[in-house]
Amino acid sequence: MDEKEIIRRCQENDLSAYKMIYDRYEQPLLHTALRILGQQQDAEDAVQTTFLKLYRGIHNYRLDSQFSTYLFRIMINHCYDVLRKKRRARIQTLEDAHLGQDSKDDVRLYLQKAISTLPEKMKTSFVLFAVEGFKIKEIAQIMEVSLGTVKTNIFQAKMRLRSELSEHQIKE
Amino acid sequence: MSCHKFKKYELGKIGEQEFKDHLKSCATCQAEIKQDAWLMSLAKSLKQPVEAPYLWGRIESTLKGEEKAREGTPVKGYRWRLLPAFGAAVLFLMIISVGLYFLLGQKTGEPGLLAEKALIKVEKKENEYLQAIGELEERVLPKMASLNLELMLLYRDRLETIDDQINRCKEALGENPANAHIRRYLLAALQDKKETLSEILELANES
Repeated sequence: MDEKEIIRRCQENDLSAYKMIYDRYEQPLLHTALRILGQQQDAEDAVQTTFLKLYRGIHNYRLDSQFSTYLFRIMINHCYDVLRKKRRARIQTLEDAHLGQDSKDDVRLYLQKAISTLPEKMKTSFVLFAVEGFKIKEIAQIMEVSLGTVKTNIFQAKMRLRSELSEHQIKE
Repeated sequence: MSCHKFKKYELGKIGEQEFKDHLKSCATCQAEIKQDAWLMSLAKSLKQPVEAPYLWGRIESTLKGEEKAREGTPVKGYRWRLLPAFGAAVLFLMIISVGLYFLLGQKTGEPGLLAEKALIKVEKKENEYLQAIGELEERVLPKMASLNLELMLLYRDRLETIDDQINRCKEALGENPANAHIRRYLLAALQDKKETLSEILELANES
């Protein structure tokens, strides 16, 4: 079914239409929340709250704008609120990881830990771009910032991650 | 790293063609591109499926709860007990309406001083109302812990959304205090908050 039609049905409070939205966006929403918040339980709570906020605000959604950016904007703003409220500045250093030889899994784990230490906005930009495959323009819409800010965030994130990985002799 | 063309390209300060031409003769940038591609492919590989088998069930029950709340299922005796609160809301609405009448009167040639006085009166009443809601909130929030988890999350989210609306209205009014349209929004948000807090209080007292 066409996404606009699904959204129209959501606007008529049809719960089965929300399930269709869920089936389409569950994984990208969960991945992104998990990368930003760091824990699966928090990520699931964030997705749940996102759907509640979507339900409450769907009548204000204009069909001519891109739905995915609208949905991700709700979730990312909520993730920032969670981080702010819980002041969850978990310091996860690379040394926390129990690593063996540099297998592909270990390298991924290093990267995952390194991403978690990035500042919020830099982390969000990088995750949306490099992991979820959003375009720069879409990220700018989701985060409500300029294209330049997104490009700078991504560039700085890449440099920090590369330096973090190379400090641990992880190279191509 | 002595060459900054890669950074300029990444930040959009030089075009793709210019960078491609430069790349042919710059070993530093070639290495940068290679490292970048490696990092990006590693990042892509983080996209593993996340198992959350019960998540939709939770969402569905939250949405159903919200649907019920929207249909206005009243708590037993709830409406009668809140009658004084609704009376106060109506009175407040009347005060705001009088204030708006004076405000709008400015456009039809009423002396500016009178409209300014009305605006001050409206702001004073609004502040009193805000203060009263703040006091109610202080009493209600500690009692939220006695609600069941689902209800507590539901009400917490609702309050967050309302506070967000109130703050946005206040910001907009800071820029244009005489905007009657935004004042109406603010009033609606304040009433919504008062009603939500009253509901929480009722439920907490019953549990």
